[in-house]
Amino acid sequence: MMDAEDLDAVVIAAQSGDEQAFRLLYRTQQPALLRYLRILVGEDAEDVASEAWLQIARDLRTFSGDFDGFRGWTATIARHRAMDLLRSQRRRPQPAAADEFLAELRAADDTADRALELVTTDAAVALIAALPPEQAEAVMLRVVVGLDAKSTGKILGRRAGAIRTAAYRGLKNLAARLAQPAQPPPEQRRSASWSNPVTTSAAPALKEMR
Amino acid sequence: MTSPEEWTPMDRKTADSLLRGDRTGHALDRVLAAAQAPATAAELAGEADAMAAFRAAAQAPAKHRKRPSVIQSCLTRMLTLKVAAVAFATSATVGGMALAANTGALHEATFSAPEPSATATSEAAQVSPPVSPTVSPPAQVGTTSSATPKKRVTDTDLCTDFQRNHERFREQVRRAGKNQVEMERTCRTRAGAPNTSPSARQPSREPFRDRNGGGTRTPEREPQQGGGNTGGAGQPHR
Repeated sequence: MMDAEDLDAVVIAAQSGDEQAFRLLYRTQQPALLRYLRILVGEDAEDVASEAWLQIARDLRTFSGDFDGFRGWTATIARHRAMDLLRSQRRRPQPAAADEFLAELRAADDTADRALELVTTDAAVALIAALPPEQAEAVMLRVVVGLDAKSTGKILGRRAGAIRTAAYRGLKNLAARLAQPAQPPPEQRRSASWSNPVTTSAAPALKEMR
Repeated sequence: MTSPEEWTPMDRKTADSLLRGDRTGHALDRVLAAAQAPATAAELAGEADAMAAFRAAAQAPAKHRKRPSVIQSCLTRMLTLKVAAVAFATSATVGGMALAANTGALHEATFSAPEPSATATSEAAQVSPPVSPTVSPPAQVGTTSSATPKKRVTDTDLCTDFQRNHERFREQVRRAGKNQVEMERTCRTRAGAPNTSPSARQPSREPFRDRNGGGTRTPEREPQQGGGNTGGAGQPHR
């Protein structure tokens, strides 16, 4: 990971047409955008991400700011493209379902800590995606995209305070969900607490996820 | 097995640390770290496409900065339009007058103007009812019947100035290199027909009519202007 000042310079270099600089920006930012998009559009995240990059490449010269600004700018573009897709499909945000990952967590070992050792990026993103949408977005933009509460609020059209609360609640929810399988009476607790936290319709999408 | 402190309920402080990316010893550490993990090859599969888009954008002519200049460009565009419109109007008026004066078409335009349109509209009025009930055919006939309406428009503009703003009228006439007295006469005569203008300067009108010997035309206008001439202020008094 480069430090912030270097990346600021990389943004400027890319804006003046430096290909290697743009490649570095892509490699640095694409995973975050893709994972963020995963919670918005699920299996369509790759397609939406490529659309977003087309626009980023085209409009990069119109952007002004440092790398932090670039992160927020690209996240905004990605979100707009995701909303376009959702509008065109007339559906609500449909994140990757967490069921299957949670099932894997359970299957691997009955103890949660054993399962958590195996937690993959996809599983983690799916767990976050299972949160209520505003909490999921707040957590993803803050933790994965790396934005502060203010920038996140700008993207989501809310105040920084509301973002802080949403992110906090999201983490609290996440912790509670992780905690539950490890509690003593596993069988009953599990069947009750893991009863379908998200819609099952997205389950086929998981087959295609890498 | 799970250590008890790992499952402590989330408090705000821990949440803030987690959001900052700090390690807190909380179970969520691993989940969030996994969510932040470095890119996998699969995630970077679109790199070639992105690079192609970047090259294409680099080859395209450099666009001006969009964001800061949306309002600016709008304003600039509007201003440009206005300036262009004013320039066009001025040049059309002045240039038209100069041209008319040079070619001697001024009098022709001034005096023959009412006729074509009148005949055209009367023709249209006669023809159009059987053809179609719409309004557009007569309008088209009226405008396309001859070129004189164009000249008439510029004359009208000038004469409007004459009626409303004498200062500007003088200026325009002077710029056009036109004789002001003659232009005033023209305007007065013209003013008689369409809108029965005031044209308070009666004396200058008389010699003009005599000199041009508008035998065919002046009789038509005489009865209309009779009241206006004596009143001096035209319509409001009538």
